[in-house]
Amino acid sequence: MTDTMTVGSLNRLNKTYSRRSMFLRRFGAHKLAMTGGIVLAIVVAVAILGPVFAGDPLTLNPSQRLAPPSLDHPFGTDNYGRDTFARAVAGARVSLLVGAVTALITSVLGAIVGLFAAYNRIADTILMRISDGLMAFPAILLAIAIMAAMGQQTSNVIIALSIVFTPYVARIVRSAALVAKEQTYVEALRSQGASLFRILWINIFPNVLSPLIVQATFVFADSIITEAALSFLGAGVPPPAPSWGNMLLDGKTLIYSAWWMTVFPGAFIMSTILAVNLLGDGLRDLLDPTFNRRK
Amino acid sequence: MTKLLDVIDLRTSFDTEHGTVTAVDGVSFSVAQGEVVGIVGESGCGKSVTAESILQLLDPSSTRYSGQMNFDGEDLLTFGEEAMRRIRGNRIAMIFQDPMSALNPVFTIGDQLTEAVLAHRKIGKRSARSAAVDLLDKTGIPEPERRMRQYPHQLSGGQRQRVMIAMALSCDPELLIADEPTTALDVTTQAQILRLLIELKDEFNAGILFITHDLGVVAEICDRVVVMYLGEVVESTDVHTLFDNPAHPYTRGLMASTPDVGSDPSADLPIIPGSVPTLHNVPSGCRFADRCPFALPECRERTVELEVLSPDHTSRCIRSQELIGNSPVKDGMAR
Repeated sequence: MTDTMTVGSLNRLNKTYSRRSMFLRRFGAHKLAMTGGIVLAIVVAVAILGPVFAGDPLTLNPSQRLAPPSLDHPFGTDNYGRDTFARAVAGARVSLLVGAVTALITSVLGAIVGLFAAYNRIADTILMRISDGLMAFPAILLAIAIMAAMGQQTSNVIIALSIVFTPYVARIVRSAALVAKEQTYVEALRSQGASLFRILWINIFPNVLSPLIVQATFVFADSIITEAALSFLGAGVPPPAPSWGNMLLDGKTLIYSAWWMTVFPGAFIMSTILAVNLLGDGLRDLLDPTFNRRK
Repeated sequence: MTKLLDVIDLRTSFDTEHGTVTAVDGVSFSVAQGEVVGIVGESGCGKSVTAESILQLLDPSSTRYSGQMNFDGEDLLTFGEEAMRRIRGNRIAMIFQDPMSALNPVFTIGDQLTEAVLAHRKIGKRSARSAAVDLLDKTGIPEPERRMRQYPHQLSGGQRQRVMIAMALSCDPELLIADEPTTALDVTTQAQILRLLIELKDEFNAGILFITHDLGVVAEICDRVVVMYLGEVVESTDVHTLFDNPAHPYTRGLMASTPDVGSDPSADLPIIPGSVPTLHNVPSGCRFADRCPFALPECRERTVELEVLSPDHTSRCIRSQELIGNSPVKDGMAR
């Protein structure tokens, strides 16, 4: 039960700060989320501004093969004399693009499937059995199969990853919607003659948005890793276009003679994933109303 | 008075994993224009299911209805989902027991109220909003303009229930179903909300179906009362007859177990022994017999029908004639 004191102080709080600025203040105070956000912002900035300062990732320079890190080539060069720094930066563009687009597609599809499943028992049985089937399959294996069927293209990587990750988002949305659906306000809305569309999309959807956003950040991280793994196995972004995964593949055989070919793309992958996961964890804390009350 | 809603032999059953259960079993009652009819009973007696059946709010895939529900001359049970949607909130509105969760936490009061108004009236957004402010004002909420901008958690329980009432009134319903609207509120707020409901009923000339387990509330606002036990109507009459001359042992038990101002606070309150059986094992014969201090062997042998005691008084008990006029109420109940 809320007593009058809390209601009073909440009223005062809300008068001073809008909900958005309150969220930003709390975000600023959450150190891990802040760290993740800053690191991710740097990676995104590097990816976007890359072409301005990093040079061309595809230029071959046989005289400079396997050069160690130097002032000219801060991350060294690979076995064709291509600049590893330029390739890592160009790889960031590919990886972030794949991650972001996959997160967007899975969020939209997952929200539609999840909400629909929560509201219709027959649709629920069918959709959830399909996603059980998809989830029972190892993600990498399924993605390789899809890539093999559709051909090696960056857009196909995104399609394959979206198919693989949509069930995870749909599950989360469905369970949050099932909780929201049992609230009295949904019955109250039905008693007012609200249409299914109005109930699902206008009233229940905002209530599943928090878990959806958090899950989307994890899909973002997972699809970057999976894309790297696919490319490492040679089933992802087709060479010579650089991606962190196929850079690791190129560097694998030369790991003892040219460590920079694997260490730098590996460091990029690790720091990006770590940043996204920290951000996701932070968002989960910040968007969870019970967490705020605990503080 | 014309009958606004006439429910005849309503039966609502659910398909469950353990077979079919009938939560409402042959219930008949009617509500006239400007009349307040109370449905009283313990938890699990089927009173809320009766309310939800009228608007057909229960999960359609597992619920079956039979009987008739004539609303303004048309049987609601013959209506499809689309036709029901036009009835809901438009001609029959409902308010709920728990005002804490009956409003969507992510929208302001104004958003939700305006949306309800827009759903039923063909007017612009701005006039819908001012109509919403008027409705809030009518329910006696102080500073309605400010409330419009607030979120549900910023309002007290009583204020939220007023918002729900405003929402229910947004389209001048002919019938208002109130499912325990005051149960979650404290006593002073409860009195205010009841007064508000009566005022608004007189203003809109609507009928009210009032569902409660509180006989004090019944005495305060109802014109007629239907007492339910385990899915059946056990007694139905006007409010004065009910309190002066209860004919069913269950009604008498309910009354005896309600404390009044004069009762000794240290004395144990009379109770009805036992608890309501589950719908999976409904006793044969009289459903109340196992808990009834007046039960005779034949009570368990045959189904007891509703007996008409006077034109406006029915009771489902073979000893009604003995019990009627046999006041005081507290005699014979277990202590």
